[in-house]
Amino acid sequence: MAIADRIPAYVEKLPFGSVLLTRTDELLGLARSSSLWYLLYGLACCAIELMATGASRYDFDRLGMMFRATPRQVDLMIVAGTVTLKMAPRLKRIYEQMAEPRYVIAMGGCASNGGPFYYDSYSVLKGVDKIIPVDVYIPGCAPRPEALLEGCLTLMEKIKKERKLSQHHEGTGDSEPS
Amino acid sequence: MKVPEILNRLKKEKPEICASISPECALSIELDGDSLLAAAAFLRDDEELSFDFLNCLFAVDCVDHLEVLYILHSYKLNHEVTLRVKLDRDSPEVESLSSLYQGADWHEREAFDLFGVTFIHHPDLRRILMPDDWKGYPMRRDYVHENLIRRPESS
Repeated sequence: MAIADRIPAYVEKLPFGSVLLTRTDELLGLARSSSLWYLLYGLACCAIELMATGASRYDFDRLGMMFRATPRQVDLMIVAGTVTLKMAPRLKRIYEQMAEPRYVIAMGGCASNGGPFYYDSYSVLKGVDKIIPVDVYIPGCAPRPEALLEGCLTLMEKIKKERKLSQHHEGTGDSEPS
Repeated sequence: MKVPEILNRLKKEKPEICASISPECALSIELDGDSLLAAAAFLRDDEELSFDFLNCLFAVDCVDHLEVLYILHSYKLNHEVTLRVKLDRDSPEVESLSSLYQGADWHEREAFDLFGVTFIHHPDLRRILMPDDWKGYPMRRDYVHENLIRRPESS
């Protein structure tokens, strides 16, 4: 059974099929990390590499990643390019329109900390993490598709390790026995 | 037609206009701000000059004053000239060319946005690149902003 190979699970074979016993967090982590639909937030030259990664040679689809043009259908925002101060409030607003759980990848130097525009620029935001939380930073100017893929795989590992459900129950005192 | 010939024709036909070859650049004609509109109208409408296209318009901060440059081109006669107008740094004001060249509209808005040059009689003079509530004129040399970090001198 493919799913039992990928997460810790106890499988009991029964005459009419089988029963799988596992942790909800593990199952949610696997599901979330395996279908990361991402928002096309291309702002500069990094967007070219993002598009190349989405196209057939590097093929984002094989990771279950599809681009969407609306924040309401996405799990992940890949900020690909230079964020200006004029763009910053729009970017924050679009991030807020994404449904939770939501993730952000800062692709390239500009999105990470301003990059080549850190000095001597009045109009560039010095890193997208000034306005929204960032999960993974990808260095490079622009990062090659391999680097972007590496960043996405890192994010997937991060999502798989999340224990949001059990942490939530512990936080409310409604804890499950550990 | 070469720039000195253009200047000679302008001076001959419009003697009231104060114009000369710019000491900084021999390809440009320096003008008084008040006579800009009349000079541009003549350059556009005169048969032998026919500057039918405003190629580019931009401002320069020369620290002690501002300058606005107009690059005029003639598709008909295939020649080009640059007009320069020196402006006071504290209250830079010059007549808008948008009544003569439609294309001047957005170029002048850009010069207003980044250098603070006021174009008199412009149809819609507001910021074009920076956010509407932006303070100051970022391309001026003495511009300071909380987001502007100067590169440290390399040792």
